[in-house]
Amino acid sequence: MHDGKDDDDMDAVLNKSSDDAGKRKSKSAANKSLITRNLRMAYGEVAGEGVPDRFLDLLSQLDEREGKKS
Amino acid sequence: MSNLASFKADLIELLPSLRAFARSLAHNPALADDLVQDTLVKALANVERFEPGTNLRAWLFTILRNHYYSQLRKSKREVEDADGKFAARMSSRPEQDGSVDLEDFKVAFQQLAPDHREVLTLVGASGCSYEEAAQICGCAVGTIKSRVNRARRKLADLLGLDEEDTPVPSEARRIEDTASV
Repeated sequence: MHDGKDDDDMDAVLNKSSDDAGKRKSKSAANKSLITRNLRMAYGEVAGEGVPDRFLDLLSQLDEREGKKS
Repeated sequence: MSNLASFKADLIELLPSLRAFARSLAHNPALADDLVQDTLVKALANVERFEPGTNLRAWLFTILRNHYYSQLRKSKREVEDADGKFAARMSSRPEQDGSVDLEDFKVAFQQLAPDHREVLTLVGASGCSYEEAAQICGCAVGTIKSRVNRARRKLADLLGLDEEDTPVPSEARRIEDTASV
């Protein structure tokens, strides 16, 4: 009863499904790195802008407090 | 250096990433910088509550996100209307090589819910660990991990990226998905 044909068929099925799984995995990994790359670019664009003076002015309050303390 | 002077130096060093985090929550640059401004005012008013040597970035990011969400709750309508002005359409489908245009990426990103934008930015771009992100968002590490995964899948879908071997979603399906999440 065992002529190997069924096994071959089964192998073909198994290989096919593991191929699909591999494809899915690599696709999702590729998407993940694409998303991370773009997230970092978008974040880096803003982080790379100069910091507005008004924030630095605000923080100079700390110098005044420092002056009062000593 | 005194405590205050080193606190100030550390704050200045963190300003660029604080602004970038704010921009990922409030897309409008002016609104984002207002968030930063309010965060700094709160930080200055609470300097003595900050324990030197602990994580200043997490402290600042926490103040900023809490402020953002409280504003969002207070003026949900206005914020939604404001966001609507910036709603834009993606100009193109992903390229054959799987790359996407950065401007298209930003458009898709802005369509995500705030809690998805937040975790993706913290974990994916700012370099926060899962633990740090959990601290900032006030939830469990496991929650952050699953939220990051859901956010990534959602974003891949919005970008029209083929995540599994299913056909690329049609425009209609993408709109429906956006509404249901």
